[in-house]
Amino acid sequence: MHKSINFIVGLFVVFAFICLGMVALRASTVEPMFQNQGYRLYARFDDISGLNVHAPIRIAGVKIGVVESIELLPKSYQAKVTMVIDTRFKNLPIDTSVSVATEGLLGSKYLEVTPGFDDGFIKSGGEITQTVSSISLEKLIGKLATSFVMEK
Amino acid sequence: MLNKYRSSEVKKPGPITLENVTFSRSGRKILDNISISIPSGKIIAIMGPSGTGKSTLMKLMTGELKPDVGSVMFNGKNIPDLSSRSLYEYRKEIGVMLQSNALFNELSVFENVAFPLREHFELKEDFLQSLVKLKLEKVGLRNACDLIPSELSGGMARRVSLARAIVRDPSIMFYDEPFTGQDPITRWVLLELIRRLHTTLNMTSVLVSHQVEMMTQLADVVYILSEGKIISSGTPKAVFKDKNPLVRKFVDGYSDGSKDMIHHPGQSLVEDLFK
Amino acid sequence: MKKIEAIGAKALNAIAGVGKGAWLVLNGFILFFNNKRNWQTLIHQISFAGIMSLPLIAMSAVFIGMVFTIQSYWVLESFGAASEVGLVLGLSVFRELGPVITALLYTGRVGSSITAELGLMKTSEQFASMELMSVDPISRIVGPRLVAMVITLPLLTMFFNWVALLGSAFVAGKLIGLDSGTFWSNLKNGILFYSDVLPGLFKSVIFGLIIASVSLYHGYFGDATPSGVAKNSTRTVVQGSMLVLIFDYILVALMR
Ligand SMILES: Nc1ncnc2c1ncn2[C@@H]1O[C@H](COP(=O)(O)OP(=O)(O)OP(=O)(O)O)[C@@H](O)[C@H]1O
Ligand SMILES: [Mg+2]
Repeated sequence: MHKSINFIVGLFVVFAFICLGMVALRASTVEPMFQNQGYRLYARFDDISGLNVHAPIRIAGVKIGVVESIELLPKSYQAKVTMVIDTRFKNLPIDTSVSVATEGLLGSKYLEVTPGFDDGFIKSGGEITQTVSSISLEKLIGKLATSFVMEK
Repeated sequence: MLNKYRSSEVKKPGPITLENVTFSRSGRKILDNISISIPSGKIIAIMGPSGTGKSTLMKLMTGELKPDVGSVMFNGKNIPDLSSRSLYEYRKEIGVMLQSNALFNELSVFENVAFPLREHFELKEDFLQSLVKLKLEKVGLRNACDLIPSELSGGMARRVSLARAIVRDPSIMFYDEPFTGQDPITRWVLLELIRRLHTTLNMTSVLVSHQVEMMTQLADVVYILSEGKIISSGTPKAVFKDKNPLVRKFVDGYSDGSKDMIHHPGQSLVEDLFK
Repeated sequence: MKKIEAIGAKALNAIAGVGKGAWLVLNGFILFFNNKRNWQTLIHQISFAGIMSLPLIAMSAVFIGMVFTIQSYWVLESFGAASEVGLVLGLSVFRELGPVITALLYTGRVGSSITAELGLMKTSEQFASMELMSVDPISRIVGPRLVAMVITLPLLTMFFNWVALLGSAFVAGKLIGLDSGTFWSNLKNGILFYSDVLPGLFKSVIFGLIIASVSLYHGYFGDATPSGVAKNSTRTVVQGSMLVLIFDYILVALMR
């Protein structure tokens, strides 16, 4: 009798972890621990509105890393974004650029990296100098509206 | 306990001595400056009207309650002062049959009786089976071993509780009204059982009972408790002949039908109804 | 003056209660390991608290997943973002709905009955008779129930999370007619396991501890009378639920 209840309880525990496994496999991204297997780069932006810590970094739409931290530089009032990138993509040319992009029309923000053609590579801890800031839909609409008003 | 099965020589437990014990509950004194001693190896009966504090007195001896004043000495130690570990050590020596049976409602009769053995000893299953079955046989319930407490009659539950209390073969036994709910024949069988256990295991037995006739046969010493005080003590023969009117009221009350109800202390009926 | 005194007395009582509860839980946890027979009791308690709760949790998860999906679909559709419905549901379930609703159901289903069970044992002097047999009820009764409750609540939350998603996927795919590939890939891309799913489960461990403390406290220390037992079960449900919600806020504020 003890044996059968032990078995059922064991089954219950396994079952619960299978549920967790399904969530991990099908409904979420198990972030690799980039802190160990990644290297850091940073970039300065004029405007990163909508970008969050942990946002993905992509090349050609494929995830290569995550945003580790975002801070405001006290003198230039620029946003400094620290990125952790998978060591497999160690050799990014010096003229690589990075831009804040949006998933779909209204989706969340991520960083799109466009590799350059230079022969030199950015060192670990270095900076991606070419950046394109957020294009905010609100500002765009604002500009359009004012231009309409001006024309009248 | 297992040693007891191997060696024939059994150690006698020390006496229990209560000195100047006072105990109150919700501001009312239930035991008032009581001093009694439970000599080792004897059968002691505590008798008295309902609600005078017999069960309370027993709970003081088992360490379940602590007196407000006074001491309860056993083997040179004051039981109320014991650390919980030494209290548990003391309780391994004793067996208690509570007035409420306090059976574990989720366990079968068998498992209830086996409980103290399973908790304290690693016995082989077949040895445990025979120990428990023997005790259940003694109280006439071997064939009821698969029932659960809610399926038992009042008297049956009492006997399971008795079997559980004696299953560890303790050296001091406390029985709180062991005969309630039993038919006359069973009562005498249980009386014999208690006597036999007492002599074979050389134990000290403390009983609370209302059965004057049975206690005359069984007890070595009788204490009569009334309104928180010991009003008479000695051998059953002496006590039951005591001229003290309170003792007479209690002892004879049973033989010629109740005339005077012994009331819970408080105001009189007239005061209560017409004020 | 009298009123202020009464408030003071209540506050002191509450503080004493927390102290006694902490003492009970600490002892229950330590003494659990004192007796190896407790492991078998633990298995039985997990079966009672966990397996017996599965139908309730499953039903609630399915329906909450379904309702929440329809509701968020109506809102998201008006922004043209209907395909994000899975993501919205997933985030809310993993972070909040899963741990909190499972905990609230658990308080009602398991917490109250543990209080009643212990209360009954106390009224019928079962604790006293255990102590008379040199068996510590804190080790044998409180300990296994405490450990079982802390273990089973996170397990049930894992189960809730997945079942709620299945309910949502069913409504999104079969009733609303969204593409199921988009549904799942939005979930997968938008939700991070270590920062969205695991913190929720961590919260449910804390909730398990809270519910266990409250229910064992009211069972072990509560009034040992039939009406007292009934009142204490109610207290467990009320106080357990309140504390779960309060600690949810505190944990969320701390973890961010
Ligand atoms: N838990 C309690 N709280 C308050 N008073 C109690 C409690 N238990 C017992 N009493 C009171 O203590 C007194 C003695 O009770 P006790 O159980 O010792 O009586 P008793 O002599 O064993 O009676 P009986 O022969 O009916 O068993 C009673 O008057 C009872 O009202
Ligand atoms: Mg009594």
